[in-house]
Amino acid sequence: MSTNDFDLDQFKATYFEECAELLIDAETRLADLQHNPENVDAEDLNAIFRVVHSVKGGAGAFSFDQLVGFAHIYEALLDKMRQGEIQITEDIVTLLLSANDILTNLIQAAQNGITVPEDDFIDIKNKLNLLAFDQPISSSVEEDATEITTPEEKSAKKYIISFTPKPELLQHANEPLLLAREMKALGELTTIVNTDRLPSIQKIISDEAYFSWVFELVSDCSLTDVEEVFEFVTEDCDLEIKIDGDPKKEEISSQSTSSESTENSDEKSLETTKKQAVEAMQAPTIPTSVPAKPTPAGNNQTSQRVSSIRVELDRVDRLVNMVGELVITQAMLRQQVDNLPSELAAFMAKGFEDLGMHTREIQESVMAVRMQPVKSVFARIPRLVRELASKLGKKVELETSGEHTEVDKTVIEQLSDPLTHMIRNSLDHGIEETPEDRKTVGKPELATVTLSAEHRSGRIHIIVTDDGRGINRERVRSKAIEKGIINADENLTDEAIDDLIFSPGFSTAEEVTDVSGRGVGMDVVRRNISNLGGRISVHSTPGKGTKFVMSLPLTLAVLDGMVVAVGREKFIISLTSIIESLRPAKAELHRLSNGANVVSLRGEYIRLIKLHQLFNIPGARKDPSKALVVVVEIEGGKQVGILVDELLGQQQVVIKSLEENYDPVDGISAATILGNGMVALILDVDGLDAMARQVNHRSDPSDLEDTDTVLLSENSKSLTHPPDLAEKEIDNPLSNETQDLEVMEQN
Amino acid sequence: MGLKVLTVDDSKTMRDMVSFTLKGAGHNVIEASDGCEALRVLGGDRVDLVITDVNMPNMDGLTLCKEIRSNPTHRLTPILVLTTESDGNKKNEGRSVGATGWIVKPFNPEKLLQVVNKVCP
Repeated sequence: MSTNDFDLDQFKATYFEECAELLIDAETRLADLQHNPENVDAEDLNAIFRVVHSVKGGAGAFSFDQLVGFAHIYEALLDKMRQGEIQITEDIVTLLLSANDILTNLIQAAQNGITVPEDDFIDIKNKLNLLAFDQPISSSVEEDATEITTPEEKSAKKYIISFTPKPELLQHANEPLLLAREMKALGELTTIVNTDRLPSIQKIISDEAYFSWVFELVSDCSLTDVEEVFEFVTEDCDLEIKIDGDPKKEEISSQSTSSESTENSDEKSLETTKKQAVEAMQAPTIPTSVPAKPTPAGNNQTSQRVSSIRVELDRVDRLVNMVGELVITQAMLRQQVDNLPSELAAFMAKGFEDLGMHTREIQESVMAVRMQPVKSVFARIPRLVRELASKLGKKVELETSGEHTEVDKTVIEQLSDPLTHMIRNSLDHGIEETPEDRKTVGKPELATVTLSAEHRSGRIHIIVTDDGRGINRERVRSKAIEKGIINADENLTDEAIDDLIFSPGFSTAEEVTDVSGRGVGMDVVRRNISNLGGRISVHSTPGKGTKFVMSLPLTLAVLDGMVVAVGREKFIISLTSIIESLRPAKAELHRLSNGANVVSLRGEYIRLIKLHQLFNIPGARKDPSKALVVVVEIEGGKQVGILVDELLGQQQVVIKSLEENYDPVDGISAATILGNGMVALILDVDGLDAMARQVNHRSDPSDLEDTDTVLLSENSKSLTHPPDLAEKEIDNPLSNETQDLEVMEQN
Repeated sequence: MGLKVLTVDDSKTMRDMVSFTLKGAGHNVIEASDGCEALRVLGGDRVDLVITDVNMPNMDGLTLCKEIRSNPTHRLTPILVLTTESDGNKKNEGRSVGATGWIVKPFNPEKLLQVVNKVCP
């Protein structure tokens, strides 16, 4: 392919992106076929055909020959299927699924600039080929790719071309003048026009062709070159090309007839091939199949595309960022309003109310731009289940629902790994070893794994359910004791035992299997999910099955938070984790032997986490009875109380990653900028809980008040207090009463 | 003087490549992702050339050809059909619905410009 002056490489990124989308579409539709082979929607087949067709088209332009070769055969088979020439059976659908997997691999390989060893997929390729062309690997691809050019001697010849257009020529928007122009570019052209057919002016019909021509072309070009000029019009004219001065004076070609005859014979041979293939197919297939049915008209509407544009994620991110800054600036200005003279302040306040509303709306609209259906993640799962099931020798059916549930792009990206792990776990550990095992306990051989997504109270819930044997609590318990995770005499509820599978260093599989055991346990899954502000829990019924519920925030870009004050510092606690807040009475406060403080709340003891102690914040209220306790829910549904000075109010904050802008800090999940320009840290309640446990374990209770747990360095303090704002902060009425104390301590 | 060209393809990659090539040659390009959109985009406006893929959702390229030809405004607008099928079958079908010519994939920028030149004044 000669593309010297034109670099096609710049379109590869678009191509691969498009391929990814196409594959997801094909995968989804194949799953439909698989579930419902008796009642095939013709549009499904058409759509899969178009997918492969598009993949092939692009691959051709980029010279991904291996991909083109495979796609060509796959496409040919799909074409036959959509014409109804091949009936759809379970076997064929399985074959299509494999073909799709190979196509995926080949695209991946092309993207990485490698080729896949032909042996890896030769079986499938052969099968496809047999069905599509009734022969094993043919040379049809090569035929397709190479144009046959007969080398001809390069000497000036005189071509005599007689050309009589038919009316169709003009009706197809071809133009004799353009043909003449093209020939003129080949050499010296003499034109003789014959107007014999021209009727009197009254009888002229504008679309009729009345003229005919004889062209004499002197050129060193080949006959093929001349024929090519008339490439599009051979059917729509009478054409005769002779070479003058040729010793034999014979007619070299009468294009129209010769091309017709070859095409006819092509068609004939094609026809016979088709018949043979259909006959060949009918022999091994189970005759329960039904050919594709035409789509009912109404059905189309769901697949109708919403008109859309493709935007680089970077641009959207920039927009989200800028809107975040806008929110901050607006909040900053709002604070200044209070310093204005009262009549002016009232006027401005009204304006700010409107501005605030609009800003919020902009923010929501921008966030909506990044929302995507979880379908893109879900679509990879059927293949995973297929591969795992065959590897494990289990029969598993996957059911999905809620794939149109939308969630922020940032969450989508993080979803794939934990989800893959949950599915692996379900297939490997959840479902009985063999189909026979299932039979003996009275279950159908075919196990079912369901995957669903739904919105629930501002979060997305992803649920993986299997109908397997459930968690073997006896084994989990003994394993946990053996691994030293729990004490032998510990009395645990069923839920607590189930929850042990998330403990670090726990793995119930007797040996590390190829499937689940990748050196990553469910503990890592839980950690990764909680890093995203999510939770994962497990519910199991022995003998009936297991359900994993993963709950994630809808976005990782903004957060509804409660702003709390501790000393001069302000922190944000995610609203979704807050259960209640209270000011405890002295009588409700107790201290345990290990130094932990607890508050009794409606008969339950809730451990207190002293922020001022963990972060060494001077000037905070140290007496819990004078401070506030914010009760939050942590991993596994447990509750802890965070000790703070004040609640300052709810606010939606824009999340700024600490890892990207600074360094990870224990107990802190991210940072944000408040209305006054001050940086506030967003608390990671699970991390705080872990920190508090450590402190309690290693410190003597009496030392706690001035413990050396300085977890934020001087550096990070300067992060929380930008120098230009630090001064103003001292005026904050919140910290007034504690200032004296602070000075004393520092002395 | 650039031509006004409508390119119709459900593959964004292909639209991008056609569009880039034609723009590079000084033409104006409008895009549509299927036959229905193409007709909508065209409306009553004249274009100098339509380049369309065959296999597309909603309305395929051959139907689009027919539709365009039946509209008096576009009756004489050249239409090129992009096809991977080089066996002549699709060419015949294209011809029967009024296509002016065809471009056989794989896509090649030089070939595209050459064919555009062939059918446009």
